[in-house]
Amino acid sequence: MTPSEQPCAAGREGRFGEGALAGLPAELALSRLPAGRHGLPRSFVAGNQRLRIFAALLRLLPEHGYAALTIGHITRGAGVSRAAFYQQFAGKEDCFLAALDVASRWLCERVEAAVEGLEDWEARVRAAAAAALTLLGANPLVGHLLAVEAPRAGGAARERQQLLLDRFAAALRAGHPGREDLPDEMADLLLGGVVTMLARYVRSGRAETLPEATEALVGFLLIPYLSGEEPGATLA
Amino acid sequence: MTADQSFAAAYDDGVGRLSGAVEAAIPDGGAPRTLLAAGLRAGLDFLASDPPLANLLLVEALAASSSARLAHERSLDRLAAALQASVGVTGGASPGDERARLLAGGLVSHVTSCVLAGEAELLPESRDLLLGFLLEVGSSP
Repeated sequence: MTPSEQPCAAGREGRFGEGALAGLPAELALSRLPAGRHGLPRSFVAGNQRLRIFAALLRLLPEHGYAALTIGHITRGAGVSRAAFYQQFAGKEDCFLAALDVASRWLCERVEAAVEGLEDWEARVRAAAAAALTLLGANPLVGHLLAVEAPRAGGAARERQQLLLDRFAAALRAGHPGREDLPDEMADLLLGGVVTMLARYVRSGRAETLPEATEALVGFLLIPYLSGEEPGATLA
Repeated sequence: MTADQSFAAAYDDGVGRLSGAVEAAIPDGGAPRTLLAAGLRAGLDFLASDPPLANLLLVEALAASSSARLAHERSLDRLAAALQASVGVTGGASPGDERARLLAGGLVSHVTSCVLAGEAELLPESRDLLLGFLLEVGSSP
């Protein structure tokens, strides 16, 4: 991937995340280029087309779903030719996976930036959860890609999603102050719940309200690590 | 009958049988934790005994039509409500709606991962892990 593949986190109205286009104004980087000779460098044209393809993919997935989405939908939505599409990607899955990689990296980088410099584990969890929900709330199409489409787009996409979750799970486990006997899988279970919650919000058109769920989410993530006794010890 | 209708019928039938197996396994009395463990064991055993059905209920439902996905979400809602009631019954604090949905999501996500990995037959081995998760996270105030 090139630097120009920074994630283009399009919202439903064509909104894009800040800093997503490596210094290029979104309007320029994503606008359809003039036909014929325009004197623009070939690399710029290719990068522009790639970004427009990603943007079209993000915009069209909620309408069609991965299975029903065709390359024709994407090329029409992006305003590029099929030849231009195939210069960039081997096919629909390749395009989807590339977009997934860009979106995952975009989310990780911003969440990691949000916790940078925080030493306290609980403060890091709170900051990370708040950042993730704010980012996905402002960019619902990215949330749709990561939480709704990735699990249904085939094995490779699910592996990519799992890699992203593994990264967050490792961060959640790192340096936690809880009991040493907590299984490593606890973090995976917690994040599985989080992804299901994200998918629900996005599918129901409530992504913008995700930040309001921050406290519930943080509580959910902190409980096993901050509680002091064996689960249900008094309940047997 | 269309493919979507066929899928919906198979899904509803599978969910009905799964629910029936879980409800039948929960005794009328006993220690609360035992009741939750019995329901969890029955659910995992049921899915482990029929991996193709587990795949239909958990994996194919994700890729199915929007109506099938809605049915899947309703199933998750019912699971969340059942967990909310069960964990409360165990003597801990009953989890709120949002936390119950997070619990249900974590549970289903783990089971789905096992099915996707072709390890549906091994699901019963996850019982203690999942029980710990439900009690740990669900019963805290």
